[in-house]
Amino acid sequence: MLCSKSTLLVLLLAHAAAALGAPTLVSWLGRRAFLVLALVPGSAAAWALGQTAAVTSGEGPTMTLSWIPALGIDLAFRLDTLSWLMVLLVGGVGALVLVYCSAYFSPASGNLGRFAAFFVGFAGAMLGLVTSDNLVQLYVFWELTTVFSYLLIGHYTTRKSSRRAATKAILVTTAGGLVMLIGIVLIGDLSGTYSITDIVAAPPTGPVAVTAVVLLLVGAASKSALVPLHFWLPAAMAAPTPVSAYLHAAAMVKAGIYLVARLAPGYAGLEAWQLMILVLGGFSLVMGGYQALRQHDLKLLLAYGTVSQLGLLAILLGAGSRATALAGLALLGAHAMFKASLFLVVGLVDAATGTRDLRNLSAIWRRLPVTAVMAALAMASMIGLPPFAGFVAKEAALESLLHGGASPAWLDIALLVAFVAGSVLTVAYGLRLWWGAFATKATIPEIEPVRVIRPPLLLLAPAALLAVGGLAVAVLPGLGDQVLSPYANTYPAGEPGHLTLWPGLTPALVISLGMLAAGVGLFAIRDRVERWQATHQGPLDADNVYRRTLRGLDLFAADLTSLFQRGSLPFYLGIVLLMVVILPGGAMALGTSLPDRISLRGGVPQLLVGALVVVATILTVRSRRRLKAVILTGITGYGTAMLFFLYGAPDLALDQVLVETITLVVFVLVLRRLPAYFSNRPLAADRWVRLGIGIAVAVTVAGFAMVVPQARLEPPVSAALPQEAVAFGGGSNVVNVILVDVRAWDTMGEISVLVAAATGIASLTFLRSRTRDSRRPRDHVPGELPVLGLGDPDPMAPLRRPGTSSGSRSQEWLRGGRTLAPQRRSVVFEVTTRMLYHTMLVFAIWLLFSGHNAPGGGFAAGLITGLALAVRYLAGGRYELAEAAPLHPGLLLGSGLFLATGSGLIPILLGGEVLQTAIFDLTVPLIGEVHLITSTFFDIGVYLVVVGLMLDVLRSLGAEIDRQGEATGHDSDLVGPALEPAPPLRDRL
Amino acid sequence: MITPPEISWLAIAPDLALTLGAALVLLVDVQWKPVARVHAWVSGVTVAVAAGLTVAQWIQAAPADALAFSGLITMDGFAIFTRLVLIAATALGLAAGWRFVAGLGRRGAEAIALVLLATSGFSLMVASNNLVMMFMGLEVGSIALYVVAGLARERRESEEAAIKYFLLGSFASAIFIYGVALIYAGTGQFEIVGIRDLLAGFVVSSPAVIYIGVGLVVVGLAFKVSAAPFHAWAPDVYQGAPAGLVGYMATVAKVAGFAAIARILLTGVLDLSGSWLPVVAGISVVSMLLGSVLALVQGDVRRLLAYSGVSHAGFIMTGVVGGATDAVLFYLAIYAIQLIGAFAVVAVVAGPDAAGSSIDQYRGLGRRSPLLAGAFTVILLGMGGLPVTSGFVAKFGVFTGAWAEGYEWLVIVAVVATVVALAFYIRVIVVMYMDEAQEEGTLRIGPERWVLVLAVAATILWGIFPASLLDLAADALPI
Repeated sequence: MLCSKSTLLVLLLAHAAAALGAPTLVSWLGRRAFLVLALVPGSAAAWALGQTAAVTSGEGPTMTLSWIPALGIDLAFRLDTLSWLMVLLVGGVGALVLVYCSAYFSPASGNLGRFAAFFVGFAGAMLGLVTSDNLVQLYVFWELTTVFSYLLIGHYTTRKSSRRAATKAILVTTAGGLVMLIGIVLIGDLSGTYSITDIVAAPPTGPVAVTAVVLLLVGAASKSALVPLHFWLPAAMAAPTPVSAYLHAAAMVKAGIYLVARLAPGYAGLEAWQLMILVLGGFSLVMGGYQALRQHDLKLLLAYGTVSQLGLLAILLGAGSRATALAGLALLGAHAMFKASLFLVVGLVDAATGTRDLRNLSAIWRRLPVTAVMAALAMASMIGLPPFAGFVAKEAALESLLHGGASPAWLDIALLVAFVAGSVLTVAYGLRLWWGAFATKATIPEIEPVRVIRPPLLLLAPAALLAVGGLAVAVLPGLGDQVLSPYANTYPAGEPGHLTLWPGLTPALVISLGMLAAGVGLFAIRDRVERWQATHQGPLDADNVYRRTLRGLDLFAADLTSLFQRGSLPFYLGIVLLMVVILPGGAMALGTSLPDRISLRGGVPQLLVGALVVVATILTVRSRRRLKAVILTGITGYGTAMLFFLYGAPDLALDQVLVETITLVVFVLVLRRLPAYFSNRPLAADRWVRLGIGIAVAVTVAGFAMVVPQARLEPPVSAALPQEAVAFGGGSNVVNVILVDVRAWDTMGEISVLVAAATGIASLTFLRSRTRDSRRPRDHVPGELPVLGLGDPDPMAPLRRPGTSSGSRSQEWLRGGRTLAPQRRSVVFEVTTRMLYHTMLVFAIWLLFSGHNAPGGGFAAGLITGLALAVRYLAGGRYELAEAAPLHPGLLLGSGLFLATGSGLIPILLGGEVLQTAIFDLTVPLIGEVHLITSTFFDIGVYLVVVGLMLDVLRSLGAEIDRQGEATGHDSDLVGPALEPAPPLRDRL
Repeated sequence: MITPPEISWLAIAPDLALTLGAALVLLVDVQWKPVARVHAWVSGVTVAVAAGLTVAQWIQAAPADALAFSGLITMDGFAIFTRLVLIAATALGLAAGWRFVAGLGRRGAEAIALVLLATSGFSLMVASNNLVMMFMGLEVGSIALYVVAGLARERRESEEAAIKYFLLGSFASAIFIYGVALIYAGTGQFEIVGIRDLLAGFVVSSPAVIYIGVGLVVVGLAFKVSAAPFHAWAPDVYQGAPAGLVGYMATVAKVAGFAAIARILLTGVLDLSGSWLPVVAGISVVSMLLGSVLALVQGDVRRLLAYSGVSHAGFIMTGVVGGATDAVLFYLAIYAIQLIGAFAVVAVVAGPDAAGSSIDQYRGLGRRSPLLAGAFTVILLGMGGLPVTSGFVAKFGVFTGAWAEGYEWLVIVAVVATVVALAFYIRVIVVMYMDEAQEEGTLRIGPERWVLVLAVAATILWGIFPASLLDLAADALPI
């Protein structure tokens, strides 16, 4: 014998390999490939048969492999009686159905390779499921079977029904599986292991364990199609019939029952368990049977019958006593055989006649006599006629339920009632099935004989084998008893039961006969039953609930999408801001108190400035013109500068004012190409919401500002700075010393970034070469010089003296003025510019050199120079800019960076550190004492970089945009009509 | 006199390699104007060198050298693992987006350089032990990504995506750095390890400032990882940005963002977990539910992936709640590969530079291109977390982590969200296999092929044999 431990793994791998190779095999052999593939599940069944002796003696093979040690999950397999039975069913029925497949599909049908792959893959997953001894591993195989079943149900992919059915099946069973996963994690957490053997041996108790068990049962119910989670099974009948026979009769739907049987020895004593089993099983048993009576589609009839039988199995295997468990195991085997056989027979009838609607079938038994006999055998087993397996199982079940014993009395009675009712219904729909498929019906015309195709042997043999098998097994009830009772006896309570073919005249037999008679009676009055059913619809259909849930979820999602995903930037930002208010703001509100004393050190002036800023802010928000908004924002900035000043930081104030001004200028340059007004204002309600969010954010941030200083533990570093600035930096302007000395490395980095930014702006704006258009007026041939704005309306025209628009050089205040149409020029502006320009430059130089000790410095000086250039540009147009600074900005940027770097490196030559400040006191003839500090050169570098940046900004955002405007005929000085705002990308619904 | 700090070049070697590679791409482009193949070689070698250097870090790494550059940078397993994920994402992302990059012509070099720079930024971010350093990395990475989003200049959607991403993203960065400042105000520390030691050793008198700071930092980073309710940008950006590179963009931002979240919360302020755990759990719940539900009705696969990304952010957050660094890392690695794979499919179906990708384009994909549809199916099932895919192991890991920390309710919500999420993944699969194709013609697959092969292999192989990657993640501990 093979080493039994690894054989199982080999079998699983064989399934995987066969699944992978199936498409190729099918492409070689056509549908005959199914015969080859049948060997794979067949060998699993054969292996199980070979292990029978070992299993019966309780020494079935086990195997453990390390899988995900990090999560404490092993691969554990074992073959005990229950697994043995399941492997036999899964492998045996699987092999037979594959044989059936080889004749069922027409050789021309497409996608057979894929179908074969999924089918064998499913068989492998099922084999893994029933041999798993680890709950997580079991879950993995469980979901694998779901996926394969999804793919198999969806085989006829173009039919809408099969698409819906497949989706329904996978959603319900996966959802159930995930519920089960929670149960698994719960129970694994409680018992510290996922090993099923260990958990059942020492089941954890307590409310959590009860919850876990309930969740596990919900998972089982979803898989085994127990009411109310049964509705996917009838829908799944859209699958090809072999799939129905295998998945929905023998294998997959048994997985839930298997889980019940697995856990029952540990948990059958729980009240919650008993209640769940009774409700799930009992309702399935009765409702499934009832529904089966009204079906006209033979497959649907079988499907509801399966729901009913699965309920019965759940009851028997979950009730908890040994005798019922034994009966349940027997029925498990019997059901797999007769139900699969019946499905195959229905498939045969379908294939032979082209219909499976019993209203169209009549006298088929004459055309398909052998098939009819097979169906009769299987049906006899189903309704429990002796001497079939079904009879043996049901007698044992009835006997054990009558004896009761372990479980509480009410449960016994309730189960018995359900059992009796269900069995009567089973007899009735069983007869209806055979009658519907084969009997001669007076009211229905026979199908013409020529159109009935005789089934080939390969199609008939599997069904026959399964049907006759039900007979054969029953003849040896002692053997079944011997093989199955080891597992039944692991149940905690009750006397061991027995399987017998002829029990003698017991009460059970009498009841059985009664049930048979009642069932036959019910079948006899089938017309009346059908009419009654037609008028009495069930009140609540689980399928409807499912559909409504999905629809509701869809609508809900659509509503949410249109609510939240508007494509509106302000809305998105509003949400983020709101969260800032809620989360950190909440932390502040809960965790701190405001400081005891809030002093307004600035006194009245501070209040005034504050009021100014507030007013400017309100006006900004209310303004509809872009330019107005920008200017008002500028006022808030100037207000901030005044606050700096009031707090004794003139240098900061100076920088702030300059930056604010420059920003304003840049804004204006950019705004020329934007619509004058903001796009339409939002609705009033929206505005209030925005206002609310804005105020909330403001309050929160203001709160932060008040709360944060309380966290201070150490004295601020700024305390010692004034002395150290003089001592080490040689300057009394602390800000400047910080910039050029203390944190000179940072400044270094910043000016590099400035250079990069300037280059970036320029390269984004200049579509062509950067150097081309810095031409000055004098570079142009006279007469060719373009004049901007000549076509503008000119209300002053009658007043102008002709011929003065371009006077001689000596009359000009600004040389670039020539390039502007008269109506664009302003004498006052030009004169003022002429006066101010050089003054500003001198002032800038003064700031640059005095910056080390007084407010100023390279940055401020650079900004003032930039402003001076901006004034020239605004007054005289782009040619004036070229006139004012006939330099390439790159030159300024580069030399600035060079100077800064160089002056940083010089101290190394003097034996110091990089960027260390060296102070020289020299006496220069004529000038006198010069106090030379190396960091001044660094500052000059900063100055040049800032000027370069400003020039670049003016040239790109100013002059170049002018030029592009001229080139495209789009007058850049005129504000264009408001553009239509781009429609937001909205969700497609 | 300041003594210059000890410089451990190895600690930043991968980032240096990436930056130099980016510069090299640009230089080569300016100098020789070569064909795209040359750029492929340069960028490929760059990524390979960076990966090699990262592996060298892993081999070299000893607790003693964990901190470099005066505590700015760490070389702990956490950083190395995340960096490897980022570099892998870069390689895959460039492969998936290669047809787009090559189609850009002269601007292709810019795209490559931006991608490499973004990776180097995020790589610095995940390795930084200093909050300001982290911000630097975040900005280098983010700014490069803003530009990448707008690379398809001809299309308005791309511009819209870029500007939205830029404006909202800069705002989030500002919130982040505000938080950093407040954390500094509360602790006097920028170093994450220093903050941890401080909180472990002292009772902080006014922790509220730290709470506020942590809150702001969490808001800023939650934006970057597109967790709800900070996710609003994601669908618009995922839809508008060039199809080829969206996967990369989404992935690296998410990986780096979560690495930062994990490092700050689980290393830095773990002692204050009582204050932030409920917040993170709340964000997690909102993300999982909102993301899963909203994805149900998306008619555009890219928006669907964006919302699924929101729900994944929620799932990963459950791992953060559980304090399971290894589970978070495993999840990130798996999700990174799957996300890039999914967008590679989008790039093939919709075209490498397209905006949007209506679900109609996927109808009948199973027949038009069985292998592509098969790969997408595997990836989607992996994202859905079905067993035997690595997605299951990833989800299981973070869920058990949260469970062990007593957040059972969170796990239950997560499972509910998983079920809902499964519905929309399956919906796409159904459309691919069970609908008639609306478009005809064969699909051109370029280098995306390799991305798909790897994504499918990673999804299945690490689903069946997850131990190798899990062990690696378990070794990748933060300092």
